[in-house]
Amino acid sequence: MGGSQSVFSEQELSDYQELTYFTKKEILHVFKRFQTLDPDSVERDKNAKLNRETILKLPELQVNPFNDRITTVFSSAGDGCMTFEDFLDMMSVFSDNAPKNVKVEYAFRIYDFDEDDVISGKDLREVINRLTGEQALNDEEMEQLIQNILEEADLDDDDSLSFAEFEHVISKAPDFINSFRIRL
Amino acid sequence: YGFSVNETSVSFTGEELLTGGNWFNNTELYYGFYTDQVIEIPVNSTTSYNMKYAYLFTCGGYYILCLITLAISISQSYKMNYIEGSGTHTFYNVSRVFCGWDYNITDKAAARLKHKSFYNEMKEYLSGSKKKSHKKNMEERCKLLFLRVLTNLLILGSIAGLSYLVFWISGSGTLKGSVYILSDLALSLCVSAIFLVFPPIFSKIAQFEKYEEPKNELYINMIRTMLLKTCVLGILVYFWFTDTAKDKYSCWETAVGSEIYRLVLVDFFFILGATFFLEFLRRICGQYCCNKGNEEQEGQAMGPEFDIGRNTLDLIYSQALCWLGTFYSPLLSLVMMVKLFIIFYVKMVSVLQNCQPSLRPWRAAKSHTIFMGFLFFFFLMAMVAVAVGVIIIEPSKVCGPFRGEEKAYSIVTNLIDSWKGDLKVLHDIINFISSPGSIASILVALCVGTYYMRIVMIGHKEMVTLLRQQLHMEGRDKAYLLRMLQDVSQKKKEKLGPSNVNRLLSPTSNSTLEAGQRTAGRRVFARTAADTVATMAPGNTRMRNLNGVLR
Repeated sequence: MGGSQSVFSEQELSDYQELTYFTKKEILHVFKRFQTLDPDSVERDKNAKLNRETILKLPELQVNPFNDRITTVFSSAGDGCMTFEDFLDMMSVFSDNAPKNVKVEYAFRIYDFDEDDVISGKDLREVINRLTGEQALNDEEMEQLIQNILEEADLDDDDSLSFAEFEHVISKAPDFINSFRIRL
Repeated sequence: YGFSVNETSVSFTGEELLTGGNWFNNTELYYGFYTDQVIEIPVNSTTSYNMKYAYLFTCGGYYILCLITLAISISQSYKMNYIEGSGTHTFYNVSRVFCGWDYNITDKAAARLKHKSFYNEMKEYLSGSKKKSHKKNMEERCKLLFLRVLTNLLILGSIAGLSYLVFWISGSGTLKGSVYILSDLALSLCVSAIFLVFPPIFSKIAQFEKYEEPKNELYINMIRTMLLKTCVLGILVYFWFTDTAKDKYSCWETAVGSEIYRLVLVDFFFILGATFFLEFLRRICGQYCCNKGNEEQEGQAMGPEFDIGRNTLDLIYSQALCWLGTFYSPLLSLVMMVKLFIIFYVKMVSVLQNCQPSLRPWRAAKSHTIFMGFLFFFFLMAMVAVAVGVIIIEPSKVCGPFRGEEKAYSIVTNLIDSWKGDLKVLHDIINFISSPGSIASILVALCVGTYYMRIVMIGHKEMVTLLRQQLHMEGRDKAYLLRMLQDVSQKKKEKLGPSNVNRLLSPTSNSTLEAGQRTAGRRVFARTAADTVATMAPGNTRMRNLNGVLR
């Protein structure tokens, strides 16, 4: 409490509170977690840019199969290095207070591996492979699963999910809010 | 304040906690203690407290409050999980894949378990959907049908037999007075033992029926267990209202109340015992007996899986007992609170220490609705039983707030009749509403309303199908136009890929990310971007129309 309180001015904290879905106390807590990743650099400059490996030391991200996509999406430079503001924004989107549509939008970006604004069959294959971990489904089952997904969600039959289709399906899934959440 | 109490003073010995009788009979725990007088507070003044009205209306208010809470809860849960969640399609595959990873996981072992669980579920689902194409021929179907009829008859027969056993034990006089405390507890022990032993037997029988989907098997088991509990409780209530209530000169309500207290208590002990034996001891046995083959499972928890279905049904049964008993034993709610508190912490410790996480993922959202449905069903049954007790059964003549009345409900009818003098209007209104004609017309109006809602729902479903086809057509149009665009662009030697069209339609095209990258310094936060998009109406009309129409 003592150390981090003096790092930010009142004005900065109010600004952050406006810009994210956090309260002031939560912002300070996030900063504390950020600081534990690399205390020396943050000590010197509170807006220090930490590289991807350092960010991934965070336990919540370490075991996540999509951690590299998360850091890429939220990093302002696009290469996975995050400043404190990037980190804060990331935690804000994953927090409980973020509305569903914001989460859906970022989920779409995370799962879109080749960043062509659609989730194609290739992206789906990558998602499924990451989810199964060390074992992998064989080709036939993978094909069938991808077919099933496209059958359910792809409304205009272009063999890929655009954002509208993704949002339509995901916002109906009751488990999405509970699973797409990180509590620090 | 001048009520009559049993003059023989009974001293408190420890056994009352088990039997709920003797010393407790003359305390607030039971219906029999409450007076039927009108109490003046302070003495000899005009403000009075009519015990009869107080008792009936407090209990009535309690049940109505529970009803409102349950109805709101179940309707919210149903709306969220069934109506919005499925509509015409269950998005099973999509929700499994995209909501498949729980971002809260921080532990490596839990992550590995989640990967394995996802893999197993997908493999099972995909191989299951392949097997569906195997059509059973006539002979196999007949055999299966015959087997299922047989098992259902077996189960229904055993439920009937057990109900008769319970009925016999309640009525048998030979058991009473035989062994010291056990004679009182015999009924409760028997009921709890039945509920402990028979549901696992039913689920073993269900395994022989070879259901295709494990989900169906689970639901069938839950329905059968629930049926068993309903029948046994129904028989008990029937026995209490016909046999125990026959003797108007003994305090039968207190007897019923103490019987329910014993049921609650013995159920509590059985739950604690089951937790101890089934979970704790199984883990110990697993650790010491099977050490040989476990080298490759290092770091994995040992022990049984926590059976969510069975435990939830036990809780629902306890709650049903509480609802049944509150009218005859008002402080039973307090006993229940203590019991639930202790059970929660015992179960929590047991799950964390003894059980291993289950590989099969539990569909929490849909099951929540189903359990709420069971709870609501039990509540309705309990309310019907208590209503019968209030409106039809004659109260005992020697104790309780309604002694001497014909029926407990008659104080309400007397109250309404007493308004004939002063508040004739109210009296006439109530008479009119409770007349058969108006009740029938209200029911008819409700039925018409339900039918109308159903027709509207069918209409919406057809609309959704039509709109899906329209989207399909639009997708073909889009593909056609893109091809034309590509042909034209090839002629003009520009590079326009199909992805750009989608870029126009997706929210990232609002350049939040690019803007953030271009301006040096402050990044554009997610919340700012979301608020900006929300206020920008025209840019997203196409997407918004799509979303609006599909919702």
